[in-house]
Amino acid sequence: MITRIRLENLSKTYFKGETNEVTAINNVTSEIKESDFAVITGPSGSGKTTLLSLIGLLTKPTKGKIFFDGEEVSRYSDAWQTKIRKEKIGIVFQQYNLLPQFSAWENVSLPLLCHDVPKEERRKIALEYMKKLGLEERKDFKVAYLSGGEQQRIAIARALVVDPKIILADEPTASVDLETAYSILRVLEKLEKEQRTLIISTHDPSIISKATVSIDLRNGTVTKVERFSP
Amino acid sequence: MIMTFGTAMILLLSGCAAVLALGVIDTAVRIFRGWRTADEEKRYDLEKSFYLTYSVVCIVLGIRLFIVPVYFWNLQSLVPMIPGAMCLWGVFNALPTLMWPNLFLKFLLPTIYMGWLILAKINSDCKTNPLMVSLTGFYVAVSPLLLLDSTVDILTSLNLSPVEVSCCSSAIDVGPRPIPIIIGGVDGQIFLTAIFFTVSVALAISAFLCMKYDRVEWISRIFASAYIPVLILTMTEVLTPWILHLPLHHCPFCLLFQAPSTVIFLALSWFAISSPWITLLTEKLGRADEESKVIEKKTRMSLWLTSGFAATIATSIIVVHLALAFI
Repeated sequence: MITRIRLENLSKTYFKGETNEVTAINNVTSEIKESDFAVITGPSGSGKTTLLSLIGLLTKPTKGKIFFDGEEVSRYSDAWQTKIRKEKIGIVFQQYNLLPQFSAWENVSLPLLCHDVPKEERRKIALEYMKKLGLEERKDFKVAYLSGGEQQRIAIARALVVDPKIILADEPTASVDLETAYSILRVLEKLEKEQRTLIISTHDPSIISKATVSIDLRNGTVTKVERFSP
Repeated sequence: MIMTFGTAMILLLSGCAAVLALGVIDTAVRIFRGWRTADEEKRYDLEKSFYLTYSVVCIVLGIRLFIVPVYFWNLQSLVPMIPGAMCLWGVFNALPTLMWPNLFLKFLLPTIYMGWLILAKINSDCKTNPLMVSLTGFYVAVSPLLLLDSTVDILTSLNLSPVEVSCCSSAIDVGPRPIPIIIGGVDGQIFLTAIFFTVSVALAISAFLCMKYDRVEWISRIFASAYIPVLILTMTEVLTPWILHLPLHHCPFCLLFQAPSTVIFLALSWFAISSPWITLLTEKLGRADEESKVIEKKTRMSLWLTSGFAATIATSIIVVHLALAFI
């Protein structure tokens, strides 16, 4: 299997040189293959979100390298990293980060705006993904009127709409009830079958049980990497 | 001051360009001086600042380039408002101390602006911003000229008044001509025309050859430089009297007004002359790493192609004009 993401001695220190300096990620080296379902586990404050931000090219590492498909993307300019993020990465944030003044389908279609897709086409693609996630009937609802689970699925649909190779999700089931968590899990399982690289930070044992790779973080350092057969 | 829509536009745009240009100088200096010694975190901050600086400089240069045709169009519209003026010559002489140097700036500075923008394009096509330091340094070096350009435009617009001026024919057409009537037994005008076409064709051919052979580049730049005086002399001494059918009239502004396609000829000639010098800029400043070297080379090829085509089309326009003039 091809290595999709490689992290080499990756470190991230916030407030470097100041009295409140924090090393969130310390010398992490790891590999994630093409169709891996990777979970990043660890207690709160262990650096899971920072590691996802680094992989998602949302934050620059203080030290170390990030490779996507063999290309060292961490040395790229911010503009090029944005381009890579636009084309290759879908991100599901813990707090959804949806735009409340827009309808569900408009939120889902937002990434397509950056790809210059015409409005009608945007709507068509957005509805297609919403249908896949069982949200078709909610298409014209303002997202503020949707339940937590529905908002999370909208966020997942938004991450998928440009067909990214890599999907990052930051504790996607943390703020939803058990039933919604299961429905999200089913969506994630489907994604795994579509040969995408899934990287999820989570505490949820039901998600962890589905993973092919588990990376355990403690105080920003990888303490254990386990690979399971699918 | 003669207030017209064009004057107001030039004042407004020049003012905006000057303010914006001043506003980013400090950041550009900070990036230029700080990049090499900065650590990763600091470089990230400088890179973020660079994007804003880059956008502002692109806007400023875009404004300055947009003003060039607006400036000439506006001056042409002022001809009826200046007593005695029959063409742009009269308008230029209503404020000669500012307007003649400004004419020179209007041809020189766009070459530098285009050079910066082309380098910026090379940089944005690269994945690692390899030209960031060169671009900011270049901007810092050019910014006094940028401010001068805006200031001269503002002062020109504010100080141009409807004073009485002499007509072009009473100034240009008097006195001995710069080209002798007979040169080596050949009519001076024909001699000059032959030189003009020789240099034009040489510039076009050498520019096309530069796409394949690097060693021809300086030869092409020499032809581009030689083209400037030859062009000025040919326009005043040959093209104006021949195309306008006025054997004793030599004002190039009258030619540009009476035969508007010669404006296209002049613009293309500017591209033909500027592109070889812009290639020098890209060659010296645009080759920071392997990736930028590849993109710079492609860009340089496009510039040589532009120069060659511009020279060819410009020459063709003159051939058509002369043919029509003699039919």
